[in-house]
Amino acid sequence: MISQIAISISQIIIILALAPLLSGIIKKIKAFFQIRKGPSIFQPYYDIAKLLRKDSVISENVSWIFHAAPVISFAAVLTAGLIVPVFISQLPFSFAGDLIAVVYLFALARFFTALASLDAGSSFGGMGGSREMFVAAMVEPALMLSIFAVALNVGSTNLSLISQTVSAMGLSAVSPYHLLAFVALFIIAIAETGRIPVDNPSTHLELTMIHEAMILEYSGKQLAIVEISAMVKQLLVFSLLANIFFPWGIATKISAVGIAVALLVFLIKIVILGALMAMVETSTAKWRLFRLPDLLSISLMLSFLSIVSFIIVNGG
Amino acid sequence: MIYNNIFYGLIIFFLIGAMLSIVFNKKDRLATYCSFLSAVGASVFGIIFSLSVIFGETFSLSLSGSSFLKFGFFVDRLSAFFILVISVAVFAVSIYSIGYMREYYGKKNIGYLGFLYNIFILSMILVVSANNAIMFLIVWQLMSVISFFLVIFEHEKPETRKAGIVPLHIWLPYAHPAAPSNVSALMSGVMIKTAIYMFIRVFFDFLGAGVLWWGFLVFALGAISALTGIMYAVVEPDIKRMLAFSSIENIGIILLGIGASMIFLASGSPALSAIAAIAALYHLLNHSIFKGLLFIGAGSILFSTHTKNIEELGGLIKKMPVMALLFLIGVLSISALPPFSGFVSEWLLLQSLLLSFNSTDTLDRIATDFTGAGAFDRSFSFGFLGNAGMPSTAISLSTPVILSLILLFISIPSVIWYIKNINTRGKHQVYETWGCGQPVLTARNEYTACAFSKPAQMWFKNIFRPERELRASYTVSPLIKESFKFELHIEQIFERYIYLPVTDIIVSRSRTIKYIQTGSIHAYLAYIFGTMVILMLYIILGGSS
Repeated sequence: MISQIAISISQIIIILALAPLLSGIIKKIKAFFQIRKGPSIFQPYYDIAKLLRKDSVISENVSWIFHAAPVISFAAVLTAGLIVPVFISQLPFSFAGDLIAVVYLFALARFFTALASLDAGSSFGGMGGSREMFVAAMVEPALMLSIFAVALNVGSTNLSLISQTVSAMGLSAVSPYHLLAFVALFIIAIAETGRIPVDNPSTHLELTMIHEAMILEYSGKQLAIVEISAMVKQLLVFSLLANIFFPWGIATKISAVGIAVALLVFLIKIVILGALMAMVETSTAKWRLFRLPDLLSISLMLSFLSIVSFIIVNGG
Repeated sequence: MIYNNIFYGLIIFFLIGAMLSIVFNKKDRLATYCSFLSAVGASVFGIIFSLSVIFGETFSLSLSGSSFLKFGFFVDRLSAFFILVISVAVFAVSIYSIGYMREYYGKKNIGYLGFLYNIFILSMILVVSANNAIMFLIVWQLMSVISFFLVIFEHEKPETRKAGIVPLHIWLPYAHPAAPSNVSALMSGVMIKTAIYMFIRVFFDFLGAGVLWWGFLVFALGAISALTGIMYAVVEPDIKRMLAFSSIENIGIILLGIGASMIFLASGSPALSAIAAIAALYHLLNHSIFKGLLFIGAGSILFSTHTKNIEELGGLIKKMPVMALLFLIGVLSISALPPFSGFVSEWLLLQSLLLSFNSTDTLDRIATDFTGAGAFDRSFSFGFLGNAGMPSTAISLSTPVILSLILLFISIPSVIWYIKNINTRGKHQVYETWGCGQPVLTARNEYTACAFSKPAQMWFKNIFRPERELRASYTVSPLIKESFKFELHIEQIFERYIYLPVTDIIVSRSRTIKYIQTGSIHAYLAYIFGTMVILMLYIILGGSS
């Protein structure tokens, strides 16, 4: 019982501690590809510390939604953090939710952010919210189908069970449908974390921004919470990619050595995924909003192919 | 025989409500209280009755002694479930109506509305408790006729007259919103569910497991209706009509579940079939509650702003804070977001679909749970609230519920703490929103609902075929515009490409066969005789072969 509580708490602490680091690392790798020096990988920590010390400026038009939205989004993302395996596959709360629940928790966070974007009455906020919902409407079916593809392989949507099973299968788990589903989910991860070519996390140009437009009215402590939520969500999406498809190295039992190794392996895996993401971001330009259905239908098709090849391979 | 008394009590309460509202139709306030309070009483009886059938045994009551046709009532667990759905919605909507009717004092005949309201609900309850097909058809007709009168209750609206006549789905988005809001809540939340009831009765009870392709057909229809429903809801500016479109979507989701259940049953996996059916029925219950809530909310908005157009609304959260919170809860439920009920039912539905593709451990476990607890027969899943399916249903339902509880546990205290902190400590500054350089930010600077759904509209422009009209009047310079007029019309694809051609064909065919309608009774008798002869010949020949 105590070890279960300890696992849950340490999982949340580790997620919160690593989330800004991942952002910093991605920025650093991007800078490397763009032949810049770039800020320190610890810069996101400094930014958040600074924001937490600052006072907020709040629009006179807002209602309680504006105040509640960052906290609700944060709570939703943290709840997802209790069921996404990070360093240990057997999570105490894994019985409470599965991969589908994670999708809906992210949707809840997104819903409130979009609602808050309309609250201040600025047209930028509405623009961001509108675009975010448009992207969400395309991402969610693609995400569902890729989950379908993953769940087929293991026979469950329970995340702990998935990473446990794939981990036990070893290298024999690598198969055409496994890789196809991975690429499908990677495309969705680009959209979910708001990266190029879907959204540009470092822009404030009104014609292109999506996520940044939604949170334009936030400042100070509220902005800090919004930023942490976005970083935690990004880390969770990466953990999903890492621990569903390549869970090798994850601790399957509670042991000090196992957990230490698992943490190290996890760090290496997300750095590799981060480098991959940075390469995609550097090598492509941002797409027009109305070209995005093309990108997400590629993901949809890949998931579909994954399902078809699963049925062919296994003689379904 | 306590059952009989409760059931009679239910009927009598509705009839008293109907009669008293006619008696007091000159006194608005009295009529309101009489009709809606007796509906509240009747719905309490309905809840008690349905729960006692669900947890007790099947109820039947026959009225006429004729041996050929026994008119009466038959309530098994499926019927009781629908009575429960109706009663819960009626309970809430009737209480709301007492206040809402003030809007109509002195303008409309409230006694008449109260009469229709009570008879309408009674007919819905009779539809789901009828014991044979003829009885069912009679009360079904009654329900349709009453709902027609309810829709035209506010006659001054032009769309209403034509709307009630075409009795297929295209009328729904026009008819439901045209009725008074409390009635729309019942129509959209509950009345359309009686069709689902009929559907389940026919396909699972009368016809048995059926053929595989029926299930696929229902599934496909469900999918199409869910997609088109939500697509039109997204771009609809009329708030009540938007809710009606969303009802089409949710009926689609329920049909998806029922279709999946039929497929699984026909392909011999009753456990999965039960899960899909549970998901569908659970979504049905949820939908009737949150759609009722949303229509009530729309009614309150209409009551205090006198507009249903989303474009003209704004800032209501400050004027109607409680309503806004409740409406938000309804919206969260309908969007299937945790921790609300819509999430649980959609989760269950998705699970049943996902499980269908692999018969590994999970499915085996569930299947053994079910089969171990009781054998499967035709009425397997609709006794789902009974004992047989209970343990595994409880397990599968509790999973997202626990998640939701965790979420509530984390978010509610922190939200309260956080907002309190912000408001008391005063460590923030209130300032105006930047208005893009305009001196004052007005409502005109805000993003409109039309603009918000614009990307979706562009995405589906081949389906919506939006007709746009932009008129600008200029001042001296063509660069400075004096005023803009923008009109947008979105086409109802089903209306244009399916209904209109079909009506055209029917009308032209009817003209060609018009000449046999002589209006003479002798001619009609001859027709009947001729039909009889043909039928007899058919039977004789058919019997010989």
